[in-house]
Amino acid sequence: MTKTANSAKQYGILVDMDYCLGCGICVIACKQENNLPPFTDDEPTAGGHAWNQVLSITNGKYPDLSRHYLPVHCMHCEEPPCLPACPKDAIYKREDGFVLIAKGKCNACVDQPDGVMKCVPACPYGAIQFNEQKGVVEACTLCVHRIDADPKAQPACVRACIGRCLSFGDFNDPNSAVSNKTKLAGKENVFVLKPEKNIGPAIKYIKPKGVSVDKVARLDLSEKMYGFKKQSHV
Amino acid sequence: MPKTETGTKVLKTACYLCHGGCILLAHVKDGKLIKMEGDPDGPHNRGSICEKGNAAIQYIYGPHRLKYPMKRVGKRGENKWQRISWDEALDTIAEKLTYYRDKFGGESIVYGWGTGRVIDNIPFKEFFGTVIGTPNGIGIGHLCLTKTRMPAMTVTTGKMPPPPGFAINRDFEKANCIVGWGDTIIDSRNDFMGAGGTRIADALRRGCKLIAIDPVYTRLAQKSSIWLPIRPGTDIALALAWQHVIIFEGLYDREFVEKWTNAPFLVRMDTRNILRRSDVEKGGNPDHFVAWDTISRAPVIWNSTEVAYEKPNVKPAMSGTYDVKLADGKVIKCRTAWDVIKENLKEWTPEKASEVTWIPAEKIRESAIMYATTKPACIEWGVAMSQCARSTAINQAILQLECITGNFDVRGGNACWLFPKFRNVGLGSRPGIGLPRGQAEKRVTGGFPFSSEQELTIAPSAWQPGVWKQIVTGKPYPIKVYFACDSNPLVGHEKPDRYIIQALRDKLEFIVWADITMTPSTQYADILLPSCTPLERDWVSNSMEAGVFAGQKVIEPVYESKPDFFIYRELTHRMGRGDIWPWKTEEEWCDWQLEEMGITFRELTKTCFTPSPEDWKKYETGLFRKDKKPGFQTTSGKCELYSSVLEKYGIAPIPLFSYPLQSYEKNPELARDYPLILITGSREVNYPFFHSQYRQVPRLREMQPFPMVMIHSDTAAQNGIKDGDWVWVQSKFGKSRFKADVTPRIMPRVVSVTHSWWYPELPPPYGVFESSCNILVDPELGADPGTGTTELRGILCKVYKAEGPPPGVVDKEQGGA
Ligand code: SF4
Ligand code: SF4
Ligand code: SF4
Ligand code: SF4
Repeated sequence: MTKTANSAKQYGILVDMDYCLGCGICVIACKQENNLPPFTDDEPTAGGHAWNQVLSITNGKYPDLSRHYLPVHCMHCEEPPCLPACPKDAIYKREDGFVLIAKGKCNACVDQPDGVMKCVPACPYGAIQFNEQKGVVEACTLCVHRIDADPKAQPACVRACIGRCLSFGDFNDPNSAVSNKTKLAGKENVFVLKPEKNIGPAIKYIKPKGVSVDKVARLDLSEKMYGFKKQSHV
Repeated sequence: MPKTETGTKVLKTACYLCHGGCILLAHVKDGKLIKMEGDPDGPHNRGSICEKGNAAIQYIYGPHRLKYPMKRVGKRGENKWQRISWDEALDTIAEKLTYYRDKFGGESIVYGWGTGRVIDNIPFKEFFGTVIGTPNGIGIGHLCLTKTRMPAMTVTTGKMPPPPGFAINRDFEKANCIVGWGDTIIDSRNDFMGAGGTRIADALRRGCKLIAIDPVYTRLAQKSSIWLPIRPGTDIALALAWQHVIIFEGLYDREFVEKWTNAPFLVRMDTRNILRRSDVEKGGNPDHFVAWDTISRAPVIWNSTEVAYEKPNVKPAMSGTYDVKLADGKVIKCRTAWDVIKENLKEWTPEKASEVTWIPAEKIRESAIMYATTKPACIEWGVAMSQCARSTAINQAILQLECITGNFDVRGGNACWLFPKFRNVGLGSRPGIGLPRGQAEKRVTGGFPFSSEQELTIAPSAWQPGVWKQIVTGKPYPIKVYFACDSNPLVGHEKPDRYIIQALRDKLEFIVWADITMTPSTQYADILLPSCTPLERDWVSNSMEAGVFAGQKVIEPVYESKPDFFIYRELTHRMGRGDIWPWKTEEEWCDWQLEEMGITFRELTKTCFTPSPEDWKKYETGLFRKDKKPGFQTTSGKCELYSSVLEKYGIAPIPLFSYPLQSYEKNPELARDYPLILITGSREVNYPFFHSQYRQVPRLREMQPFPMVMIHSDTAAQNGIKDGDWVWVQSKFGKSRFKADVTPRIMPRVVSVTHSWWYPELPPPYGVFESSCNILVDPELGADPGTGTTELRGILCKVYKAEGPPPGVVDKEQGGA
């Protein structure tokens, strides 16, 4: 298995959980931007495609409750386990950190002996989605097309976010918006999901004030609200 | 401006897919809308965009759009139509309207409106008032702030000089404390007059404190400093307890109360009525009042016309009992209104309010102190206050809180924005525009003064439940025609399965519907007119947040749809009254509305928004009154904490507590069979719609595929209900099916159901009564004596497992046909 060298740049998103309202607009903005198919008209429950999802984590008993939200998508990991899992070398990581799935290479593993997609279970975040219309897998691209077209642009979800809680930038650049916000929040208050995997996810979270990380950083505590077709993170 | 694909134009426009307020950037390629984004310069949304704006493309180009004018060829509701030309449609309508107006009187024609395209209701009202002469316009005003919050303001702080815009806004940007009273602000996403979610998040960043009052642990509650989990329908008790703490702990704004309110006015102890000049002087003006002057130790007349006492150097008593001689020589005891108010408040300790509201007393006290001492503070009142049969009292009580804490019309508080120089259209807006003489008296008012009395409201409209009933009974006079613009009464009005369905199916002789999409209600039209969405036409509006908005047409109307502007213009001209509608294009009309502001529509589309001038404490500067005297545009010219107007109409002049019309206390028998409390219309369950709109927009429907009933986990377990089950919710008036959202986030004895549901994916009538919260409520249970507001929240119900989803509805999770 090949290991990817640490890229010079590592673009990613920093989520300030105190201001995430759990509205799910990031999901719908992504669907618009990337033209993801919705459910069909006559079957509202079939569930559409999404490259991101918003999870909620509720603790306590009425009326002593707390509730927080986690927007989750491809983490554009520094050491992405999905990458070596692909037998077609369809998944690659760019110099600037974007983890992308090459158009034309993925065939949803139909030619594999067991016919099972290899990348999907390799991702600890459930970020890879099968698009049955196209017969390929897809995942959040960090809106690479927008960033390539205009370095000052932001991903669609960041741009639309109602709580203005998402920041986009290069985590390796000490002067980027995400680095500045990390400093401001204090490094100790910034966490990643599933740190034990040690794969350097580039979607990071500022924990809500007054709440301990272990209360909010656990995917297995969460309920799905919007996005991802299946609750594939567990 | 963001980089875009070549050949793509980016057009700035204001959004009106809800009540509006966001400025958006529409990406248009080859005349087609391809993307919507928030405008970073939008003063309220600041770059954000909600799901409705985002999904606008699917709404505009979706298969459910009405494409052409059509006439009915089968039976009503059979969904058989024939395409006709606009000319044929308009000629037929003009001819029929003329016939019914001339033969049965204008009042035999009813017009109805909804909320989705409010701006276009205004010319609509001009047309029906002036040309048709009908006083019977119906919407959901009696369940909405226009007929509930505005009256509270009219009687307390006065009518604003026109144009009023929306009565009492809240200045989120400068507030240090925001109270969401039965209003989830965030859950309503960006809607309701401007970017609620974005603005709340920004307020939190500034360190603003939040107080959330809601039986549900809403997103607002989750972000709040204090959450008050309140039992539905008992808000008056909470407001009175806040007043109690604020007044008895000396936290009120003494100067405001003494100088600007009618608290010093005397109230007769014999009749408990306010003492009027006519009581003490023969022939005296009954709208002048009396106070007790502590300097001369004698009564002194308050001259409401002059907005002054009739003696110099008066120091009115705030408290005490005084002997006053009446015109007939009799001497009676009088007390100050302030004393009477305090006497009513005395019992409303946090402890007492706690028994009624089920909120811990400590939290009541703590929140009252936080609201009164964190200045400036604003209150955002939700429609929960406007959807119960105590709406006059509760709205009055909340407004009084704003006044006595000095938060009324101050920066960061609850502000009355002025919209000078914007030319509003509407009845009475210009000479010759208004009801013909004698027609106002024929309005169907249900006996509710806020429906009938010009002095009480800015635009009186008919009492909707009464109109539907009258269409069916024909008494006291027949109503034969219904013309609806953007209204979906079978989905959105109370108890549609009784009179409304009969009226539409069997009784009305002629029905016209102008709408964007087919709905359950449009099925009953004789003529269907395809309206276009706000993005397909030019408009200006001052009815949103603190300023004037311009929405520019970003694409041509799709198919043969037309702006409502066109429909009214054509009808006024066809009916010989082209004089009242001289504008040829929407843009011309917009220019006319903006003319006195010295800006053209095109110029305004550079920003799409121009803010109201900053102007605070207008009671000091005279801007609140027509005569420009300092004071308020009320009967007395004072801020009336003790309402002389309500008293005149036989309504309690100060807010008094009463239990919900169906409650454990009032109906213990009923409560045995219906042990739970129902609330309708909360938006906590992932609500991406706007009232009855957008169920057919795939990307929105995906966010909430089904109508939900929120049930507490314990209650669900007791009733054998699991998350995701289909559940019957039954009240004394009807039953309906919803999908269970079993959660710890709702008060155990409360269930909350989604409102205005229908299933566009089913064949007509689109499962209209299958999951209808409105068949669970009944206007005949009773209504607020002032506003006619019916009890939509806080009635009793029970829940039990259903066999599955409604017939034809596919829920993959649960099976079903
Ligand atoms: S989040 Fe999953 S899909 Fe994305 S880079 Fe990491 S492992 Fe690969
Ligand atoms: S599904 Fe496509 S990307 Fe994933 S492992 Fe198979 S070929 Fe590679
Ligand atoms: S960065 Fe772009 S692709 Fe990724 S979730 Fe956000 S909008 Fe979707
Ligand atoms: S749009 Fe922003 S606030 Fe809303 S759920 Fe997504 S990240 Fe949170």
